[in-house]
Amino acid sequence: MIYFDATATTKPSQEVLDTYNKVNKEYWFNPSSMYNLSVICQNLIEQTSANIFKMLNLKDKFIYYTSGATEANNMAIMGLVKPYINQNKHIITTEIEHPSVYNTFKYLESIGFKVTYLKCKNGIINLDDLKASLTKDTILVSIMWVNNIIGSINPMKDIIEIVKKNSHAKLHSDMVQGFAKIKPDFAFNDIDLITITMHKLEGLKGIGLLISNKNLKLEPIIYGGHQQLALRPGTLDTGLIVSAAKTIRLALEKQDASYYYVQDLANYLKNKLNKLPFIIINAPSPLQSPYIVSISFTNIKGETAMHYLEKADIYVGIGSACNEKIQTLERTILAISLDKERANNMIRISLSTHNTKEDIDLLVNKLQELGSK
Amino acid sequence: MEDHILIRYGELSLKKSNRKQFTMRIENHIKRALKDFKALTFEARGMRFYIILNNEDSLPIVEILKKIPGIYSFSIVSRCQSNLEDICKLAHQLVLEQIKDKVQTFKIETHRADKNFPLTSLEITKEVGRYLFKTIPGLIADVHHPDFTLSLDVRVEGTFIYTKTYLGLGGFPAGSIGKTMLMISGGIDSVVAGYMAIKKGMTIEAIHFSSPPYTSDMAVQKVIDLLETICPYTEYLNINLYIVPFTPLQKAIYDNVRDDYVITIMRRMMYRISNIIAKKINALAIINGENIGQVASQTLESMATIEEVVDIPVIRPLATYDKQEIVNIATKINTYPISILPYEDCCTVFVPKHPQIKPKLSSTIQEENKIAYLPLIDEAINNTQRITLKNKQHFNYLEYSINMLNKNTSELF
Repeated sequence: MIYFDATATTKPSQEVLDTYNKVNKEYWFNPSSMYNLSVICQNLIEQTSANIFKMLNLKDKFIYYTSGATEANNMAIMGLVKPYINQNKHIITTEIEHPSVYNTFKYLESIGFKVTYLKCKNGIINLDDLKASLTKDTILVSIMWVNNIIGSINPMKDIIEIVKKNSHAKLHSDMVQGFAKIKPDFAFNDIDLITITMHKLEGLKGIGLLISNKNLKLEPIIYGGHQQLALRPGTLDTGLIVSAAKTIRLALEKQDASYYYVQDLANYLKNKLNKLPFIIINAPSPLQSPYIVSISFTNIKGETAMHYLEKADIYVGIGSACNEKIQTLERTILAISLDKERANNMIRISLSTHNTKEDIDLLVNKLQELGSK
Repeated sequence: MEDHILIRYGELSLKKSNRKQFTMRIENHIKRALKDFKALTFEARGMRFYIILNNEDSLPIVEILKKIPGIYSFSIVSRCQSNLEDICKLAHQLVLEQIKDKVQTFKIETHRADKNFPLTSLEITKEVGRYLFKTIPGLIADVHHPDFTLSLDVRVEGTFIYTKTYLGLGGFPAGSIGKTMLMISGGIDSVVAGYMAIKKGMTIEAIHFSSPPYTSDMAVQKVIDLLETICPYTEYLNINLYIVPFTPLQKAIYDNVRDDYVITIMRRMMYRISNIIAKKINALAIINGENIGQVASQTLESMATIEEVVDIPVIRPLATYDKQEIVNIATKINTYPISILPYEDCCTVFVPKHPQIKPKLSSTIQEENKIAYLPLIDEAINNTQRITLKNKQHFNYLEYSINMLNKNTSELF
């Protein structure tokens, strides 16, 4: 099996599974109970947060542990704007966000919020557009760091500066595809709300993090007990939570080495793809994540290509796996190319340290085979 | 002007051959207990021991002395030259302080150790009395039921005068009798038993059985708080506590033996473990708070069946006490309010409805043999935690457990 879909998810590492299993064997108690074993679980959770704060150089933050990035994105966006319903407030996002952000904004638009969807012609936002769209009524700006379809990297450092300088809006960023992969040129601490998820980093599914400013008041979107400052009630899964600290540590430790390895693979792949006349590489932005290589065929549907490769035990993506229907036109490709055909004919090749140049050779051979049919 | 504390030993005087050893031990205990009062100096003179205050406040010292076993009584005394004029002046001053403008009856007791003093005891009493009546109006003599007694102790090195005498704890010097192992539960009785053992000169180390998660660390904390309360009575102002994880044994008993024998067998296991640890630490006996007839395991039949598993003496200081008498002592030593805090201990979880009050040894052994208990006892002993509780240093067990855990969990991150 050759797996080129690490953007969709990754295989959990043995170390992370060991942590998860150990916690579930020995510290499986409800952290909210009163007895000491529960206090031990609470302490493990506190240690997890403390470790993450340290690793990311965070101060005055609170980490909410969620079921994943979708929930974290919803909690951040809905939680922040909820008190402002029917107050004619303005919120900003981009047209290439993940559905868990984009569709949340669509919903907010439907209930009366004014929404600006920043254009991303080059796969990233235009900073002047951002600056121009900020008003005194803007309460939230949500901009992803690394796009999940084409791997374009938004200039977060400038975005932070512009939002801070020109508005009172809070800044949220979906960092799922950039975190622990791309070296940031900004401080995580300077962003009000950050979403990350573990299963993209060889961690477990079912655990995402919303890293929030400590003093930022969010409204709950679900109601229940007092857990996690009552913002995200429900019994805490100590095992999943502790596994997050391990996932992040391991990912950060090998972040640089992985980046250079994958960058080398990406260059190797792109060089080969450039020789195939029926393939366009979707990489318009100045800064690209090497982890994601998006291509469109001139005359083959992405779905068809995916299944063709699958028969050869090669697995690629065709856009956001979170899309309801895979037939849906890929919004991101449409945004950069305004070309329905190109969106429809797209596949996404995700690279990881588990891939080799031999894997790429096999992939390119298959693509060539497919193109010449 | 109160510049000395005079300490008297009680029962010790009877033990002639060991007297020196006993007094040394108690003097060292006093010095250790008072080491925070830097200005104090000490002076031993035969069977008396003086603490020279050097301007330290006597009140907190009194409280500490009241907790030192082996002291029969002590007085706060003032000292002057052994001549009649100085004695009268000092007596006058102390009486004024004592009566504080109230009409009080008093008597004078004179002890003349300095046989070269020109007046006899009686003459001294008369002279001082005359002086006091002359100078302090409203003073009435009553030799039978005085409000206070003015004591004069005329010695070569000076005359010691005092009006206040405090009763000490009595008993033997802490640690003079030997080491014992106290089984402590967190209830009212066992800590009182421990206190009485200390008072009678025994060093105690304590053993507590804990059944997490059925009992909480709060229950262990309660035992710690109780032992910390009686730390000031101990020779080295500390007590070692062994915390035995009892859950696996307890569950094995509960799952396998006849309901009515659960308590008997549980107690036998506790005794076995106490016996083993006692021997490891060279304790010569087991102390506990058992009280005849109080609960099912404390009938004479139960005691016999349970005690059968140990081969060192089991001492039950409270065996014949009434509950109220025990509560009175617990109140006096301030353990009562801690004891009545409502945390389950391992004796109260899994209690059968109708425990056997006359367990037969043969049936007990038959039931007990349903469990392979020896490895479970070994496991319990291997996992026993030993902590040392010290006077005036609060031990936070929760923090301790969490720190222990953190040591074991760092690889998780």
